[in-house]
This record gives sequence, C-alpha cells and structure tokens, in this order.
Amino acid sequence: MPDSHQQHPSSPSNWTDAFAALPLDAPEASGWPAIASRLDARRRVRWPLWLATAAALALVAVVPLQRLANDRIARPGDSAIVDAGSRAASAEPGAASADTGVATADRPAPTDAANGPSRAEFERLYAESAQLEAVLAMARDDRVASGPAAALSDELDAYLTSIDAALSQPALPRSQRLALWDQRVDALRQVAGFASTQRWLTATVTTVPWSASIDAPPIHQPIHDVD
Amino acid sequence: MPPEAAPAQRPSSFAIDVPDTLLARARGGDRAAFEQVYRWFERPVFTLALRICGDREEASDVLQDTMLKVIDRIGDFRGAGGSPFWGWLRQIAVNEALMRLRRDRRQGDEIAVDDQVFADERTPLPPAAADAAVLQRALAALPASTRSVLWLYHAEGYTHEEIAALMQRTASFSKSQLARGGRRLRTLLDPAAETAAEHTHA
Repeated sequence: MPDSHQQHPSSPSNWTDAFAALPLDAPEASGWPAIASRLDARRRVRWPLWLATAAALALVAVVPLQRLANDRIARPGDSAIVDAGSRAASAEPGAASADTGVATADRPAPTDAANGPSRAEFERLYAESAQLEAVLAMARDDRVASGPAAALSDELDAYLTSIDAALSQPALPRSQRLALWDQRVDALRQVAGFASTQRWLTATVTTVPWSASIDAPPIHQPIHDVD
Repeated sequence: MPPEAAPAQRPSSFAIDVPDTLLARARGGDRAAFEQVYRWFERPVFTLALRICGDREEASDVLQDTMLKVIDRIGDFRGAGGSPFWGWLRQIAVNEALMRLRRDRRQGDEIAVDDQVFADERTPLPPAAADAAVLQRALAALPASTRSVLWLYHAEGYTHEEIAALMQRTASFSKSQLARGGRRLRTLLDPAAETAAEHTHA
C-alpha cells in the first residue's frame, strides 16, 4: 500500500468522526434577549377591565414620581444614597430581565465614575424599565384595541424590539449602552401611557373614536447615534 | 450545565436529555424554563443551521425562528413511543433551515451529475480532516444542498430516505450528493490527491 494511503495517526477514520470532532458554533451574541422581547410583544394579559384600568393608571402616576426620586438619589457627591439605591434595585435579581429578557447578561460590571456611566445610573434604568413592563402587562388588552390603535401599538413594539436588538450587540460601549437603555425607558413610557389611556377611554367612553383622533404621533423615532 | 449527551449510534450534538420536570414547566409557560431549554440547544441549533445555510446571520435567524416555534408548540410534544424531546426540537430546526434554503432558491445548489470529482473514496481521509478550521472552510466551499446532505447523514444520522423526505427530493439524490460531496470534500482537503487521481483516470 502506498504511503499516502496509510492512516495518519491524528486523522479521523470517517466523516462521522470528522464532523463529530468539530466544535459547536455559537452566535456572536445570545439570541435569547431578542426571543424574550418577541414573546413580550405577543404577551397579552387579560385582566378584568375595571381592575386593569385602575391599576395601570395608578402605576403610571407612580412611576414618574419614583423616577423623580431616583434622579434625586443619583445626584453626584451623595455616594451613600447612591449605594443604597443600587442595593435596592439589585434586591430584585432579574427584575428587569425576567420581563424584558434584556438586562441580566448585559449588566455591566461596576466601574468608577471616571470611566463612564455609573452602575447606579444603569440600575435606575433597569428598575424603571421593569416597573414600566409591569404597567404594560396590566394595561394591554387586545379586546379594547381598534385597528389603528393596534397598528400604533405594533409600531411601538417594533421600536422597542429595535432598541433591544441594538442592546444585544456585543462589546457595546457603556455610554452607548446607557443611552440605549434611556431610549428604551422613554419608549416604554410611551407604550405604557398609550395602553393606559386606551384602557381609560374604553372604560369611560362607549365608543372610542381612535380612527378619527389619532394623528400618527411621532413615535417611530430613529435610534440616536450616541457617539 | 446541561446533562450528559444521551448515547446514540451516531452521536448528535442535539442528544441532550431534557428532564420531564423542565418540560412540564415550559408547557406551563414558565419563562425561565424556556430560557433553560434555549441555553441548552442554542449551539446545536446554530451549528446545524450554519452547516445547512452557510451564513452566520441566516443561522441566527433560523435559531430564533426555531426556538419561537418550539415555545409555541411545546404543548404538542408528547414524546409518543419514547421519542426524545431533542429529536422533536431537531426536526423543527432542520425544517426551518431547509425552508430557508428553499425560500432563497439555494436548494438547487448541488454538485451536478456530470461534474467530475476524482478523489478516491477507498483511501483514508486526508490528515487535514482533523484540522477543524480547514474542515470547516472546506465544508463552507461545498454547494448548500450537497453540504446539507453530508451533514444530515454523517453528523445527524439521518437515513437517505429521511433526507429525501426533508429535502423534498429522492433517496437517489441523497445518495449521489453524499458520494460526490464526500469526494469533493476530500479534494478540498487534499488538492494533491486530486491531481494524482486525475492522472490515474486520464
């Protein structure tokens, strides 16, 4: 037998062995955040109308107040309060990720303030995002959506999905990540406000004149280039 | 950490035994259970999709579509006849990847019958077959359908009849692409052998 036909010691004996020895490939970034966010977009919690309306309106009123309080907590120079705020936000592990599916794996490690946004800033946004997701879960109901309202809601969802896709990019600079989280929270405020208003109108008005009243508000904003 | 791979005659990277308790939680809509299933099968699905589609972006899309279908249909999985969950999930992944090939009209990418491939199948595989990077490049250079047949047969253990059904072709097509694909892969891994074989045939 010629030398070239002899089995090389390291050669696999057949294609099955050769293919089995190949390492498994993985996507550049985990696809779970995108899947979770698509699941969120589909999620429709069906609460009793009067209860959901009351709860959603109450939470929408509370969230801006809490944001104001958080802003005050995050003032530079008040490190003891910032730490307390961070711990409070961290006390609910996965609070943001369980609902949004975005945050957990992407949470940046704490760094000092000179290196970019502080952990407290991220924690504040994670916490607010989780609260707004909870509002949204209660406020939304397809039973009360007219065609144009549902289309608008889908647009807002698509905008949120695009932010989540941007957030799932690996090696995103901290400043850019923070700006995207800020956009995400703003978008969630719009979605939650829209869903709550729709609930309220449905509960108080017999006919919801969405078709006549909606003048396509400017919700489809581009994701800002934050560099 | 995923449990150990189940023993199989042709080991598949999908062969992961998923506990019944986890499946029950997933059927109940438990988001954490879905995420666990996703984490275990992310790499096998992505690798399979990459081998069939040949493109990382498309493989990511197949991964996402597969997992969403699994989540949507997990209530339909009953494990009838002792069939494992991983086999059911793999079937969805293969269908998604092949559907994408068909949609992109790339299922016609195959080695033509009159294409001369001279490598000798009786010889052992070239040493380069042990080099993962070289073998992956050679696989990527094959036409999509040929590569799919090779991967489904050798790596996943499908029969020619099963491949024919999946690809909506005949078993003869699967057999001929397997033989021609194997020879083409040899020549890509060992171009010198091709020249020698060509001279023998001349």
